[in-house]
Amino acid sequence: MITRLHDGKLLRRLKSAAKTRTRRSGRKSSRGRWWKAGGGGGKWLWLVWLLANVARIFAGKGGSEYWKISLLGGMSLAFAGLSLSRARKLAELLTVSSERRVLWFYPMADRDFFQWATFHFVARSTWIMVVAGIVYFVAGIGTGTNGWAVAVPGAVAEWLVVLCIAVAMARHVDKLPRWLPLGLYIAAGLILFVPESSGKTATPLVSALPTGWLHIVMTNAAAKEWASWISACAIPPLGVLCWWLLRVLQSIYCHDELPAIEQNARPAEEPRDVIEHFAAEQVRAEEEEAGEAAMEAGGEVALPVQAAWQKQRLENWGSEIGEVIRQGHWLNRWNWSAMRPIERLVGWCLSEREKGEAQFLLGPVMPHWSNRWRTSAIAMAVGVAAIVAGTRQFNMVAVLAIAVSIGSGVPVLGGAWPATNQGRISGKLSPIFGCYPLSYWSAGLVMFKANAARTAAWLPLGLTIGVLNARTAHTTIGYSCWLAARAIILFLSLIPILVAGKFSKVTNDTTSLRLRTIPLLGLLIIVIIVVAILGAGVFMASSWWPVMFLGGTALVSWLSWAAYGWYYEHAQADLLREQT
Amino acid sequence: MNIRIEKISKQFGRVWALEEVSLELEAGQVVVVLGANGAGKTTLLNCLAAIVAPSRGSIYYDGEVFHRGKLGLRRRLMFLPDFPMAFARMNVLQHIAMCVRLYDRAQPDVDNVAKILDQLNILALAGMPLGTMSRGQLYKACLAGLLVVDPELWILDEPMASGMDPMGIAYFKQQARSAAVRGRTVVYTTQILEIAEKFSDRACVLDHGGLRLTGKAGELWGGEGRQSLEDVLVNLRERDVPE
Repeated sequence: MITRLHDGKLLRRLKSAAKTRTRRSGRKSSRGRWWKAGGGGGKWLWLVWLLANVARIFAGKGGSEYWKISLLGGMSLAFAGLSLSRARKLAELLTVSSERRVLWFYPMADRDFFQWATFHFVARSTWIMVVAGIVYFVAGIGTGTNGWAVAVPGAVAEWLVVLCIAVAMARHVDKLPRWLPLGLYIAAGLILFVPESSGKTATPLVSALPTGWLHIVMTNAAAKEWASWISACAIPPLGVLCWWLLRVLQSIYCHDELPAIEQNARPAEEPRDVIEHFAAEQVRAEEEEAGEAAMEAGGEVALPVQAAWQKQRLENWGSEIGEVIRQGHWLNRWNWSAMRPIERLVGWCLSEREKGEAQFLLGPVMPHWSNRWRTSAIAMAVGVAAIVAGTRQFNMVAVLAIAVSIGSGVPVLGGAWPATNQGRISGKLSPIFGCYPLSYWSAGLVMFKANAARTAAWLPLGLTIGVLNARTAHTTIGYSCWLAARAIILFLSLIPILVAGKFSKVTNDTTSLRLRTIPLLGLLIIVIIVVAILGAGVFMASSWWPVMFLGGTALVSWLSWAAYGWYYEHAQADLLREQT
Repeated sequence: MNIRIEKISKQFGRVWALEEVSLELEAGQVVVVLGANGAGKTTLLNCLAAIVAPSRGSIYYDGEVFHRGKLGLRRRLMFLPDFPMAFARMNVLQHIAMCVRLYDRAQPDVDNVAKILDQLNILALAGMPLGTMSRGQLYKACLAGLLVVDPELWILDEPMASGMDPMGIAYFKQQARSAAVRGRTVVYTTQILEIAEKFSDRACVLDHGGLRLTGKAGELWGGEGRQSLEDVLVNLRERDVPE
């Protein structure tokens, strides 16, 4: 029997009564919009993976038998990661989810909650079957005349395997490293791109994963004909196994044997008698102190709580913290000139007022841009070594190292500015800077200067990519470096748009579809198209034209920033966003 | 700071949270905004603080039209929402220093800062990260920032239900009264009518986004043989209940 949190009929009757009363009182009612219902969470990883496969097909690498094996191998890895992340999800749902926390306060049996939670967990996992079906389609499994006979039971079997592992592992998630699912997803992506020789070595290992046997059946020449039967026959035992595992978990859950995740969240428990003894000692000590204080005050009886509070106030006046306040060092601004080189460079670019605003935008923690540059330089050195020591081509290690170098050295998304982080105001999200007087214009300039200084500091590393490109693509170093410089200057010219985006992301300017948002969205699309055309021109044109295109991009970027600033200050963008 | 609100309306989706609200508030008053849940109190405060932009109408501070870009005007007001906005990793002193910088104030008297923190009973917590504090302590820390900056307009959303202890609330009321005497304007919301009656010079009652009543102490409530604020609100509600 499915446990429901509410009776559907009762809910409909209540809605109808509320509507009637609202209509009679002449008030307006608000209604939710169905298209605003929240979507799924971390399925974007799947999307990326599927897109990568589609890209492979278009690149002409699809169709071969090895490609099919590598695709299904990637799927085995991804589903192993998915099983572990679903196990964590189930453990959280049963112990620390908002539903669990809320329902602790209502008379609901653990058994009922378990049934409700697991039903929802299973129902919300059905998309796994759809993903499996799509991967089969991409791999060319299930596309023949009787293809569906393989694809449908195969997808169901994959889903059941994932569920079985998730349920079995739910009690043990604290023993698993948190990065493991992500590591498996990344491995799933990488296996698609490794050379055939290395991939074939990894295939037996990948096949040993929980869903690997299904893929062996589907790709093995001898077992292929029986694939549909084997998959279909596997469904009942897998279903029974899943049901049995759920029953075991239920019996543990309902007998107060807390799953591991909650035990982990609790502080280490000491034996009860030790705690009681310690508490009794503390109470006795406090009572003695209060009695002594009362005696000193002339026999006036003071309650222990009052005595403790008064004592704290008295101590505060002469305490160390009082002295720290009186010294006034806490009012001092950051000393930018005593910081590391890149921070010093940024400080040199900022005026005194801008330094104060930068300090606010960066929150309580001083920036670590120089450390990030050092990480970037190390990653770049690894990339150079991988090319020099390897085949003198851009290989996987080099590409990854360069990506890390760009990610840590360049403010790719406009940099991290904690003042733009959001908190809650009356149930909605609002940026921290919303409650303080911060100018869009000066804050934008601070962000631009800091990002530009960081990008300029990264320029030598960027030019290294140009030199590497010259070596691998057999072009001149001058031409290749000019190409890299163009990319860096193009990024510099796009920073104003990124800065405007930092403000836009904390407003509701594009979240609510209204008539007046249409011009804004139209303008946004036009800007994207113009910037894309100009950006393409920077790399495709020759002679002095790239400089013209770079200038054009910078102009459009600054104009967009200014236009958004006017909109931000004068139009109806709220610094409030609905919590999704 | 004199405040003039001219026919402001605010629409969220299909709902009008505020509808044509007009109001004039003189400087040196403690103003309480009352109303049922969803009446538009917080939206009005958000409009006054430029968190929310009105769909229609305008707000004038000392005769000057106000919007988010008016940094000079924004430095003359401070808004404390129901959950104050602050950096979780900052401590109380860093937060106060940040407020002093952003509001362009001169270096504050450190003894006064120590006194404010002590009166709010958070002196011992001055070095503690705000993220580790209870809701009441966090509110006190941000209130300390407001008291140090001492802006011309104080806007506070539900300060009496902010988790502050009775000593903290008493200190806030004392400071707000003293600020009003100095010419500051204090606008706050509350649901506790007993506090509103005693701790306000003027009340504004919002209902379904509209301003239903506004008046001073002694006119709207109190005075000889006059009704209490509770009577005012109950009468207002009874007029709305359908037959």
